[in-house]
Amino acid sequence: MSHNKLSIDNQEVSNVGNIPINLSSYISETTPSNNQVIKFDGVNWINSDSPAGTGFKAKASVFLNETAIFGGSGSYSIGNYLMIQKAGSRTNKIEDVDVTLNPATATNTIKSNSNWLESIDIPAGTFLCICTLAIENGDMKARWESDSGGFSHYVHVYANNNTLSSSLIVGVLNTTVANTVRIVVKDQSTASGLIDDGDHRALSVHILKLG
Amino acid sequence: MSHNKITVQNLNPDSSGNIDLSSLNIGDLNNVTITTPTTDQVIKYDGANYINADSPGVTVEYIRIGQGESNAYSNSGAGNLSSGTELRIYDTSPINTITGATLTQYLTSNWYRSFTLPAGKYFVLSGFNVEFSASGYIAAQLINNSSAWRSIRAVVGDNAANFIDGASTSITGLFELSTSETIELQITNASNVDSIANQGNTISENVFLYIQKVD
Repeated sequence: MSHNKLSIDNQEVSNVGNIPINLSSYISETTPSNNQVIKFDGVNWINSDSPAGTGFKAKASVFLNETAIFGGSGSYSIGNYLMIQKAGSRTNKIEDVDVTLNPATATNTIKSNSNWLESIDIPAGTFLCICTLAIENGDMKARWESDSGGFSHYVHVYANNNTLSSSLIVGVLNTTVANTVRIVVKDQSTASGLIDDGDHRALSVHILKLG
Repeated sequence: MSHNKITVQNLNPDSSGNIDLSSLNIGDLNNVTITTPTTDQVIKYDGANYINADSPGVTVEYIRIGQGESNAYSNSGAGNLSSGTELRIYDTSPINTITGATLTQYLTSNWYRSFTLPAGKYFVLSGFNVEFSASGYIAAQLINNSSAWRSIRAVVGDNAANFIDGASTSITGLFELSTSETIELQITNASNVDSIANQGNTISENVFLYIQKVD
């Protein structure tokens, strides 16, 4: 062996006498792409997309699958939580691992039914909560509430006049502990009922974690 | 110099002259210090060295005004609810995490008249409602102090169709500012909107604005 045979990680000496050392000699590298970072996967240091993400993380979302067909019965009282269809085959749904779509209970809303949600458990953090409210008959004044009370503006929608009020409810909740959020019926002149598939097509909830 | 004097990270060449680095870890680099890593930690520079740490978080910058609190619109300082005037927004604890942005209120009333944004791109959601004296409507949108539109125009009211058939009842916008701008939620059209004295808490409870800075 002579010194000009020297190599490092099988990289040979260049014609100017240099041996470059690549990061791949120190990590478990796969083909990198733009903006990837070096992170620890629990065993090795690897190249990967940044775990910081976009700062806008989808935690929960429910809106109707267009093929769903179902009926609804029963009427809301003031203080009830809004029921939203969450059955797997009926909805487009996101339910992150640290979020729970809580089934409807007669204690809090029109009826007990595990195919519908009445509230959503979330972890600590800051969350953007969005609801497009739709109702069946009557009218409903509603807002986002958590265990600590209301955290959004109100809307008051009417089944017979969909331009009388905006139906978009937007709240930002900063919670230092795990919490539960829901849309709560705050007032009504004529009770609205549990909506069927038709009206439900305009109903949605989306929860995004900020940061 | 002889080859057997050359080592890399204290590793000697093998019989073929190769120094195999496969036993090394990123922490073996001279300017990298690794201390008990945990899943999803990254390598970052701390001002002196490269270290392992939680990924520097992405900061979401946003403004939220309006959370359903109750206050009479007569406290807002507004002179009227006619087209071309601000629709003021009530919030005793507005959130503003957008660097360089400011909120302008009337006196210290917690009624917000406008906001100023630095250059950048922004996404907007807003909604509103008012009391009417008779069948009517009110339309509003975000407009800057040069009268440029920064959102769609939305309309609410039982006679909204007399203004726009099938219009949105909520405001959305996505816009880019090359320089700082002062923007307000402005009433653009109004029919049979009740007096300020008769608005009571309706506006404070129903009007909101959410603005998020985007890339």
